[in-house]
Amino acid sequence: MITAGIDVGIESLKAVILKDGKVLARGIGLSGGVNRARTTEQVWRDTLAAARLKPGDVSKIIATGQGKNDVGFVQERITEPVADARAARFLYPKATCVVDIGADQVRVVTLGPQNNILEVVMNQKCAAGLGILLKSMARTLGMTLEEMSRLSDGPTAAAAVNDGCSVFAEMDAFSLLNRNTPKEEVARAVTEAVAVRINSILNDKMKPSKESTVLVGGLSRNKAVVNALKRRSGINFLIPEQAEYAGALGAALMAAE
Amino acid sequence: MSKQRWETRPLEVWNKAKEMRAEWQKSIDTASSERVLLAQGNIQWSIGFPALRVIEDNPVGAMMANKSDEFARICRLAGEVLGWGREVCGYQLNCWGAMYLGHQMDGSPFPFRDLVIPFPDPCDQHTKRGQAPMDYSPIPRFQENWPLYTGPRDTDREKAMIEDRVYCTLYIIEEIERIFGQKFDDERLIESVKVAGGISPYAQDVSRFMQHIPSPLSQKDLYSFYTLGGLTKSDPGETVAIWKALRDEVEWRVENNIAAVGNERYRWMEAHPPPWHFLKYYRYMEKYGAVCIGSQYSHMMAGPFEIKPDGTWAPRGGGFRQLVNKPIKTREDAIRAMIGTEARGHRFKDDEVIRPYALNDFAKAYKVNGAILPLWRCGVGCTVTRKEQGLRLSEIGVRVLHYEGSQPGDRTDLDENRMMDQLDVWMESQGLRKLEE
Amino acid sequence: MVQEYWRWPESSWTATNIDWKKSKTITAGVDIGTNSSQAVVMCDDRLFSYASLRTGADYRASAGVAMEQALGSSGMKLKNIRYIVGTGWGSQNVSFARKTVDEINCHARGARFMYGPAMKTVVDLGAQTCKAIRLYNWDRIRDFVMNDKCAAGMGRSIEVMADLLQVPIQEMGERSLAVEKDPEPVSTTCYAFANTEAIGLFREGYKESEVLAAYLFAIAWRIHGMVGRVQPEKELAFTGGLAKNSGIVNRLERAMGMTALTSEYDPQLAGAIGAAIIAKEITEKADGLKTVSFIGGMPHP
Repeated sequence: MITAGIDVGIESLKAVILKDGKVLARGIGLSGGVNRARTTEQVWRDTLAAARLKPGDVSKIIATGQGKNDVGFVQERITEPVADARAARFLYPKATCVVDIGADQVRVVTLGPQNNILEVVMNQKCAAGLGILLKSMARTLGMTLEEMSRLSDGPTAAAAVNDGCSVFAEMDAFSLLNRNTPKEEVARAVTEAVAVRINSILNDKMKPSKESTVLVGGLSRNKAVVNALKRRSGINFLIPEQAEYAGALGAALMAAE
Repeated sequence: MSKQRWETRPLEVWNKAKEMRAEWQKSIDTASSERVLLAQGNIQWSIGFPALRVIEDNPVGAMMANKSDEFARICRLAGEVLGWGREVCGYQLNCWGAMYLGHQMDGSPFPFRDLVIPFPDPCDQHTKRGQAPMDYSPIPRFQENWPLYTGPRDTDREKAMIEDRVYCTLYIIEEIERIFGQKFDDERLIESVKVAGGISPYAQDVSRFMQHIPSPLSQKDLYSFYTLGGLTKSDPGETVAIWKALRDEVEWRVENNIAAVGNERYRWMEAHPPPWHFLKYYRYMEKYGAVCIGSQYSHMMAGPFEIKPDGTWAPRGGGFRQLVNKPIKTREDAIRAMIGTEARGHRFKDDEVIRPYALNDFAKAYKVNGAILPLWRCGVGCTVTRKEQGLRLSEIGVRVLHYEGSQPGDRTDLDENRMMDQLDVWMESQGLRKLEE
Repeated sequence: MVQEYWRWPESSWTATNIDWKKSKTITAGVDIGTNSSQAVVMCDDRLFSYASLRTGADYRASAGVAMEQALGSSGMKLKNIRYIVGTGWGSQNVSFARKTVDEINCHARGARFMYGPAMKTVVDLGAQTCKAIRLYNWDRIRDFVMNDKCAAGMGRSIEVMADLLQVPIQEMGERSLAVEKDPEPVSTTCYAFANTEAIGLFREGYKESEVLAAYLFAIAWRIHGMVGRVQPEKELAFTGGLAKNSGIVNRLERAMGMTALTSEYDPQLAGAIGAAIIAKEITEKADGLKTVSFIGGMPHP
C-alpha cells in the first residue's frame, strides 16, 4: 500500500511517500506564505514525480503541520506531536521521547509504554520563533544559516543575549554589534540563547531521558544549535538521517494503519 | 449525527436567571438618576443602606469583553494613554477606560462611583480597584481588611484578626452614615443574612450533583448562575428561590441521567475565570465529547470545600455557613455571621494559594481526566501557583494543558488558532479524535 | 535566486543643480540605525546628496559606506565637509563625526526641514523603536515618547513577516488596504505574537489582504496608543522606514483623525538631515553668528 504524509510548516513544507514501510520519495519546499495552498500542490506534484507515481497510486494522504488545514487534497489531518511520536517509534523502537525543533515551534512528546503519549509540551507564545530568530539574525550578520551554524559551533560565547524573548535577543545582538563585537561572537551568543530556551522547554514537565530521546525538525540540522543543546541538556540525542521529514513520515505511517 | 449516549435538554430556570441579571443591570444604570449612591466594592452588607448600590469592575470588564471587544479595545487605549500600563488586568483597563471616556458600551453615561471599598487579595486587580475612581474624582475610600494568613493555625491570632474585621466593618458603616447622611437599616441586614444563608445548601447541592457522570450541567450553565447572589446583589428572597429551583431541576436531571453534553466521554476542569471573549472553546471541546465540569471559581456559590477523612466531599468552614444558625439580633451579630470564624482564606482564590493541593481535591471529587490551566499575561491573581498545581495534578494522573495568551477581560493576546491547536493536540495526544458529525 | 521579500530598495541621489564648490558651508549627518543607515550632505541650507542602505554587521563600515555613497561621483571628499554629526543607535560608530546628537533632536530638526513650519507632531516609525515628538511653534521640543521594551522591533518584525508571507515588503501596505473593512487586529502586545497569530489567520479563510490588514491594524493601533501620550497636534508627519508603508500610515491617520503631511524627501532621511542641519548650526555658532539653537533642548543665542 502506498501512502503519503505532508507536513505544512510555517516556513517549509515536507512530503514523504511511503510503500510498505519504505520511503519512495521525499519533497521539500518553502511553504510560500500567502501562496501556501499553491506551493503545497507544487511540492506534492514534484514528490510524486520523484517517486514516478500518479496521484491515483497513493491510497491515502494525511496532512500535519500548522498549515494542515490549507491542504485540500488530503483524506485526514493529524496534529504534529502525534505524527512525531509515530515517526520516532518507527525509527527508534526504544525511543521514550521525541523533541521537534522547527522554525516556529518546539515540541517535547513523552512516549508511553503502550504506544501512547504520556505528555506533550509545546512552546508557549514567548518562546515562539526560535528558528525564525536564527534566520533573522543570519540576515543581520550577512551570512547564510549554514555559515552562521559553522561560525557559531564551539564553546560557550563570551557575550550573551537574552534567552527569554526573541525580540530582546535581537536587541541585545544589536547592542553587541554596536560595541563592535565580532560577528562570530554574536552568532554564537544567539545560538546559545536558542539552546538555553529549548532546554528550558525540555525540562518543563517530564524530563527527557539521556539515552532514548529522539531529535527531529528543521533546527536539528543546525549543528551549532544541536551541540549547544547537547551541552546544556546532557542528552545524547538520537538524530535520524532525514530529521526534518519526521512529521511527514509519521503522517505517512499513520495513513498506512 | 451519531446517536448520543445520553439525553440532553436545556435548563428551564435559565430564563429567570437572565431576567434577574437584566434587572440588576437596570438598577445600576438608574442609580445616579434615582439619587442612589454607587459603591465600588464587594460588600455583603450593602443591603442595609437602601439608597446604596454596589458595583464591581469585574462584571463590567467581563461583560465588555464578552459583548464588544471593539469598545473594550478603545477603553483600554484610553486607559493606557492616561497612564495605566498594559500590564494591568483587563477588567480594570476595560472598566476604567470607559470611565475616562465617560460612557458605556451602549452610549449611556458611565456610572461614576460615589465611594470605593477595596480589599487586599492575592489578585492584584482586587487590590487596585479602588485607585482609579479615587484618582479620578475625590471620593471617600474605605480600605477593607481581609487577612490572608498562611502561617500555622493559631486560634488567638485568628480571633484577633476577626475582631479587627468586625470592628472595621462596623466603623465603615458608621462613616458612611456620617458622611452621606444615610441611615443603616439593621433589620434589613439581619434579614438578608438569615435569608442569604439559605443559598448555600442549594448551591452546594448543585455543585455536588456535577460530580455525577454524566454531568447534568456544564461550566457555561454555571456562568449563568454564579453571579446571582455572589457578584450581583439582587433581592435575597428572589435569589434563594431561584437557587432552590435550580437545585430541584438539577436533582431531577441527575436522577434521569440528563447530560449537559450528550456524548460525554472526557471530563475536564479549570481554575479561574475564562476568557469571556472566547467562550466558544467550551463548545469546541464538546466536539471531542469533553465536558467542563467547572472550576472552584464557577462553583463559588457553594463555597470552598474539602475532602473529609472518610473521602466524602464537604463544605469548608467560613462565612454564613457556620454562624447563621445562631440567633442574630444586632447589627454586630449579623456582621459576625457574615465574616465567619475563619481568618484564613475561605474563598476559592485564597484556597488555591493557601492549600497547595486544593485543585487535587477538586479533580478527585469531580472525577476529571484533564485540566486546563492557562497562564494569563497580567492575571497575577489567576496565574499564581498554576504551574505548581499543574505538576501536582499530573502526579495524580490528571492531564494538564497550560496555554499562554489572553486574560479574562482582555483579548489582546488571544491567538485563537494557536489555542485551538493546543486543544487539538491535548485531545489527540490522549487518543481522542473529534466525534464525526 | 530565491526572491528576498524582506529586502527593501536602497537608494542614493545627488543634486544636479548645486555646485558644491561654490557653497559656503558644507555639513553632513549620518544616522546609523539597527536596520538602515543614511548619510546626508547639505550645502548651506540645501540638500545636496544622500544615501540610504541596509546596516551591515559592522556598524563602522556601514557608516563609511553610507558616506561614500552619499559623496558618490560628485568629486566631494570627506575633507570638504566642514562638520559631521552622527546620530542613531550606532552613532558612536560614525568614526568621522565630530559630535553625536540624540535621535529626538535630529528627527525633530530633520522633520521640520522636510515638512515645513506647520508641522507640530512627528512620529518616527523605525525598525527597533518608534518615537512621537511634539514641537512648539519654533523648534523647541515640547514632549516626546519612545516605545518601551516589548514594543521594540516593529520594523524588524515586518521584515520577518514579509519573508514568512512571501509578500514583497514594499507592497505590504497597499495590499493590506484592499479590504472593505479591517478585521479584528492581531495581538498588539508583542510583534512576535502578532507574526505568529497573523500566519494562523489563513486557516479561518482570511484572504491575503485581510491577513495583512489584521496585522498592520494591530501595529498601527499599538503606535496610536503610544502617540496618544504626547497628545498629538496638527500638523502631523511620519518619518522612518515604515512611513513608506501605506497600510500603517493610512490606519494611523484614521485612528488619530489627522492626515499626515507629505514631503518630496525620503522619510528615512529625517534623522540624517536633522544631524546635518545641527552640524550647520554648530558651525554658525563657532563663527559667532546669532542663531537660536536648541541642542540639549535649551535655546541659547
